Amino acid sequence: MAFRRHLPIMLFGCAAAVLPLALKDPYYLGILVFIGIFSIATMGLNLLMGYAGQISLGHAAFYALGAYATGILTAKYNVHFLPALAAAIIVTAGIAYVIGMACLRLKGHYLAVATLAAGEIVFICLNASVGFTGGPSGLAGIPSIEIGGFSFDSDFKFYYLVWAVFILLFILTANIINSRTGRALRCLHSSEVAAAAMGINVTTLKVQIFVLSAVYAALAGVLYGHSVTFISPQASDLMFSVKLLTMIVVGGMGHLWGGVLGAALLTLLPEALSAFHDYELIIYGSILLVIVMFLPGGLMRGFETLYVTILKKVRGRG
Amino acid sequence: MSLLSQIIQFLFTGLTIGSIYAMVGLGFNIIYNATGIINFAQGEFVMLGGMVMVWLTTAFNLPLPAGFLLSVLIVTCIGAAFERLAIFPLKKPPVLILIIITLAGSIIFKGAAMLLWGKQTYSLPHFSGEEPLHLLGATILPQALWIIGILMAVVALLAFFFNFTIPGKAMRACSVNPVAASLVGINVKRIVLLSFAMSAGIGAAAGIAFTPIVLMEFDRGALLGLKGFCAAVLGGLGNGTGAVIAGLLIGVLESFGAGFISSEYKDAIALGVLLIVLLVRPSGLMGSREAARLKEF
Amino acid sequence: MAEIILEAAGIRKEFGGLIALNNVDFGVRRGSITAVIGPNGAGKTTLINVMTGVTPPTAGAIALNGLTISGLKSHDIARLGIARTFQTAQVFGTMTVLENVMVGRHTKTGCGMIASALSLGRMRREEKAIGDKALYYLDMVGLGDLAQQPAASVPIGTQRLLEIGRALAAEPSVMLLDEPAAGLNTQETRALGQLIGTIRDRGITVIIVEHDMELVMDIADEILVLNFGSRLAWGTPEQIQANPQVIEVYLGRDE
Repeated sequence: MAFRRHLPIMLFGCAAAVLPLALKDPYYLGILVFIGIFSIATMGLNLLMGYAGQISLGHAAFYALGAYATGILTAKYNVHFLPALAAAIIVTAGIAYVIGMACLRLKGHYLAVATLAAGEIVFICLNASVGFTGGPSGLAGIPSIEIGGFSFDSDFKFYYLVWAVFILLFILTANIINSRTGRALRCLHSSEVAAAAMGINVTTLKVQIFVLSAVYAALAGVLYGHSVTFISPQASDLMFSVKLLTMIVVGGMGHLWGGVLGAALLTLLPEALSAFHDYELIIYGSILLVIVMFLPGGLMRGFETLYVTILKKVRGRG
Repeated sequence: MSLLSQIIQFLFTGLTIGSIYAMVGLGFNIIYNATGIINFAQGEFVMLGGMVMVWLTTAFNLPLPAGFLLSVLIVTCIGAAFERLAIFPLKKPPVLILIIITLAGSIIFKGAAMLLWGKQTYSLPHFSGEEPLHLLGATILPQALWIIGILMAVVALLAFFFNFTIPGKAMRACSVNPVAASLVGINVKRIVLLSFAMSAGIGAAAGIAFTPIVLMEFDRGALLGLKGFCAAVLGGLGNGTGAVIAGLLIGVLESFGAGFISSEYKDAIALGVLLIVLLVRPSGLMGSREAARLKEF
Repeated sequence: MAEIILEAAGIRKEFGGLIALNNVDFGVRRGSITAVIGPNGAGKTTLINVMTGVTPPTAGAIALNGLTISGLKSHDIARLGIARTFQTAQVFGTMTVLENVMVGRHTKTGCGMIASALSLGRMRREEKAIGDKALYYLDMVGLGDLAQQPAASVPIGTQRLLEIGRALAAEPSVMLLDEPAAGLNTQETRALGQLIGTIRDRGITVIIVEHDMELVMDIADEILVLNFGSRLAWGTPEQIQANPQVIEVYLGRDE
């Protein structure tokens, strides 16, 4: 049962393992690393938005906090990576807990604005505390990740690290979704009153999932910081939160593979369009608008519907 | 500068910027009352107002009054078009979808402004010169008086509109009960359109008046919108008088905060106020608690 | 074990200036079916919401087995053994019919997020037990065949049954049904009456808010009549049918 559920991700893992061997150009390896990192961040946000139905417009803040935490500890204080990672997770989870406790009593529009404001405050603080974070010019010289003497110092090694983390998290997340906790989570999407009537502590659960999704974002941020060796407050701005949200909406809210698909498409898009940079905002905005208006389930659900329709047609004929 | 003149200086700076927040807050309220939507693109209307005005006055050498009216008109049309294209076609969309739609709208406006006018900042000439007035040692720009004056004009026009015109009364009816309003023959869809047009127009007026003092660029909208939202929430969402008072209050708080505490964290002040209000009293200072609880979010 | 399982004393509920419930008292016998009836706006649903902690009463107290529950949160009250359905069916639309009933087991199980994420043996055993129980209760309400359908896709009448199945899965001591027969045809209503009888026979105390008088008179042991938020009458179906005040409220004003 559990094995069958995880079969697609196992196959995906095998494909991911052999892919770099077939790629000649290291440039593409770098892109695949980014897709992996964004997939991790969107997975967390998808748990919160797609499954639990709670919007966050401040998730970039957690991504940046993760990156800054390990970045500062390893670059400035020569802390080993693993303790730095633990610190990053604890700090981000703590901040997410406080923000979550504060915001998650709110719903809908209020929640969206409150998380946006919280994210914006983190952005302002990262910019303003120059001595600690390097201010607007960012924090440079973040070292490679080193675990037990092994250094992930090339794109090739980093690729395997990122996708291994992704696959591990994917399995854990899939387990959560198909469990007692996961069902409780999905209840929130439809009716909080009914969920509470079934004995689900709505507030606690919302805060739990908010913290968990913030930790995913922080992990992605940590990987990002050590991969490009640099982090700036830009990573915590509203636009990055919107990008993460766009990835989920495009791929499919409430669909684990949707986040991956969205991350892949929106990371490849700028590479495919040379003039992308000038049109970035318009393209993101338009994609978001069009998908939400005409395909609110995202591409993944669109594919599923298409598949079922075709299947019915074929069967109808035969 | 003496402490007194400093205080007067900060007070006036605060009232000036607070007037802008108040106008943005009013825009939020108009759309919210008519539709229950929080329009995340509200701040972009302010930015567009300033940018269109710059474009009209530099490219076509339009004089100030004509430029002002035409800019407001153009942005009003943009607001109306946005409603027709993105909000109107949907039937009863869930809140999450509405949030994403207006958010997408704000990004498109921002992106379009960047494409049209680039990333540089623009300025406008002051409406009536830059010769400052002196009051007890504080210097006050005439433009600040213009801004406060425009806020007062907007408030007066809105008061007239809501109390003495048919569409204004219809809009108030919609905010109380859209179903009942449609039953007595009010075209709710048209009211929604009108609300978007009006708040776009008010935003544009604020943006035009503000640009001479602070300059304008394509990505100014989001933060202005957020602070305008702070004003709307602090005043009690949907409450016009509340938004004006709260907007002025936030402006003054921010100005004193920047002057006496730290200018780097100035922007965090309004946001902090917003978070505290949302947590402690989501109905705002002047909203009714019961009414806030009855509203669906 | 006391004879009275659920007792309400002086329940008052105000919304702003509006008095929705005014000094309502009653005691529900263990293992009985109690119906709450009254004209629209009499405060029936408000009473259910007050009993389940959706809104706290303005004044008064409710006790379950002698333990005060008014003022507790919804989920705590559910944990103490009160399950309910809703006037407008509130199924979890993104989940399957079976998963909806599995949610009903929430208070009877305990694996948290970490156990779930790691898929520990404890969690897998618990999942198996939840699934089995859910299927059992799904069969009881007659929806076994629809187990894998998305809950949002089944008709409203079926959603009402699904809500009852979900509440049953919680194995409550008291079940509150808010207009379960609304929108059902005669045949379906008769089946519902039988189902409610079965539920009572399992030892669950049932409180039902209902407009269908035939159903109410058929199954109820006792009836509470509300009018404008106040208790108008209380008694057996025979007593209620003979009560002149009730007759006036129900028949007199239509003339």
